[in-house]
Amino acid sequence: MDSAGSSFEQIVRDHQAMVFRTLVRLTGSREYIDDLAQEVFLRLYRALGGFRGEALLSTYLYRIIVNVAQDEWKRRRRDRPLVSFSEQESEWEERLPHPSPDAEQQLAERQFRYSVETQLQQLSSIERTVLVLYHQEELSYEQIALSLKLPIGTVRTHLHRGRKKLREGLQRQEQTERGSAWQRTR
Amino acid sequence: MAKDEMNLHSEALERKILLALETAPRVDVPEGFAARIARQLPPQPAVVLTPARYGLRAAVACVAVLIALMLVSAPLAMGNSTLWLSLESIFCAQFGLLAVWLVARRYRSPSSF
Repeated sequence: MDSAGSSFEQIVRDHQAMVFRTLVRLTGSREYIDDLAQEVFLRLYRALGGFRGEALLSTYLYRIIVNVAQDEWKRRRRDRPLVSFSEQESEWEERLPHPSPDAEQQLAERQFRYSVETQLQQLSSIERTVLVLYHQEELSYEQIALSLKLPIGTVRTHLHRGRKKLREGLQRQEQTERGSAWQRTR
Repeated sequence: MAKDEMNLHSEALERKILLALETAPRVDVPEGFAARIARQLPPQPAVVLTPARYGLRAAVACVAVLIALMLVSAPLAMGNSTLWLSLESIFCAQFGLLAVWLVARRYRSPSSF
């Protein structure tokens, strides 16, 4: 392998965990995640020729991840059914015995996380992206604005709107669950 | 009282949402992923350096314009007009400077012509 290949391998190693977790969150699925991550790094490699170092490599990478995730959403709308990563996870996790005494609390937390993931997938692509980049990846408004090529004010608006929609969705879901539980008890 | 309870519930929900958002999903990166990517890299296209030589082109264009101007202003400068004589001198000086620059450039990098 030449030196360019080995130095790129190091770049992949440094960023692979971030690429995988961000893609999982943005696409809402673990299916094809390996292929998508590969696509991200190949696009990065092709783009490196035009990379002049005016932005951080990670900013560049986030922009590519967001583009790949959006392409995946479009492709899915055309031909692939959505398999939520939370569903996949819960399939095998629920078969395991709960290891600690506060298993009920853990189960409740897991279910809440699952609800958040479900509601996250109901948001618009840009709102979901801004929420994930801000909360999960801990990027600043400026970094998000650079990655998405948006004004900072727009980033703030999407973040605020995304949080609001998420909260309202979760409250609606909570009320529906309470209603159906009440009907079951009658 | 009920309002306080609602506020508490809302704050607790907000905290839970933030915690859920901040908790990144657990993802296992396949073994040897980076090495596999590095093996699949397409060969980098050879960088073709074709200098645009905008400076040289501009200089040659200026030389052509200056020659034309000198030819036009020469008969007028001969008529003892101070203005035209000054202009002719300026054109000559600019022409001389450009000629020196072009010659120096040729000796500095023989392949540039």
